Amino acid sequence: MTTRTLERLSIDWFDMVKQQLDALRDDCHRLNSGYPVPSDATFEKAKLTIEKFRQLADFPALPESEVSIGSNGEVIIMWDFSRGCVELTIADTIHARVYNDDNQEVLELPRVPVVLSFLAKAA
Amino acid sequence: MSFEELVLPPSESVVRLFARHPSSLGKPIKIRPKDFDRGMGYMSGISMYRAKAKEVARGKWGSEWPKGILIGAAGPIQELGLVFYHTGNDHFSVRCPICDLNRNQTVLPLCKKTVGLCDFDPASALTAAVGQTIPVGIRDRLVKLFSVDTAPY
Repeated sequence: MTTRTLERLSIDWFDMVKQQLDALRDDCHRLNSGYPVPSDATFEKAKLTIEKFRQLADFPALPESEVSIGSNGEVIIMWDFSRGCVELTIADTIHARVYNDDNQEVLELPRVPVVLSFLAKAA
Repeated sequence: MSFEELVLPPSESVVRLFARHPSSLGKPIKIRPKDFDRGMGYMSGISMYRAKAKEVARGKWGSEWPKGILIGAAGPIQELGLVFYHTGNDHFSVRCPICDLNRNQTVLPLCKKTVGLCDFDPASALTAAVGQTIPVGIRDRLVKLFSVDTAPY
């Protein structure tokens, strides 16, 4: 039972991202980051986007994501894989891309979970 | 107010401030493209300082998040085709050569480029290039030209 619980915790990346987003939102209001504070709606949109991704693919474990805010009040979520990074930029619209040192590809949102899953399995 | 182009010796060090979410304290710092976002609220370039003014720069930015300094050389940045515009004391704004330094973005467009994509702006590149593999943008290239300044202060 303990083993199963730990296994479940290790792959539950969605909860981790949600916790990171909540912490980011709290800290944006608690401390001046020097950047515009994303709206609550933007944070909710980020959560909903991640939730949709989880429903679209059977995910292996993902590396810990980084959440941050952009210079213009965007919420940024990124995953760093050995073969490249996936970056989501969430504001009025949502942009997603995968990039490495030399090239980038813009992703339509339905492709994001597929790419995430592929990169995670390839790592 | 007019701004003059600033040409720095290729070996001169320049600095860029960055901040991180407090939860990142104690973790290795990776430089990210977002560290080179241009702020669209005030002016439309990437704000940098000559390295000799880095302590002044650190004091001017009111971020209460953990913040640090990225340091790089002027030459490789200029080799990307970017231009420095002197905006006061040792502060300068890094822009495309064609940039009109527009600070009144509600009246005039930010970018004068009419052919192709503005390589400087990730949003415009992203919108126009769905599904295509294209070279990384200016922010991604700047990541490789800077390192985290570990000098004590």
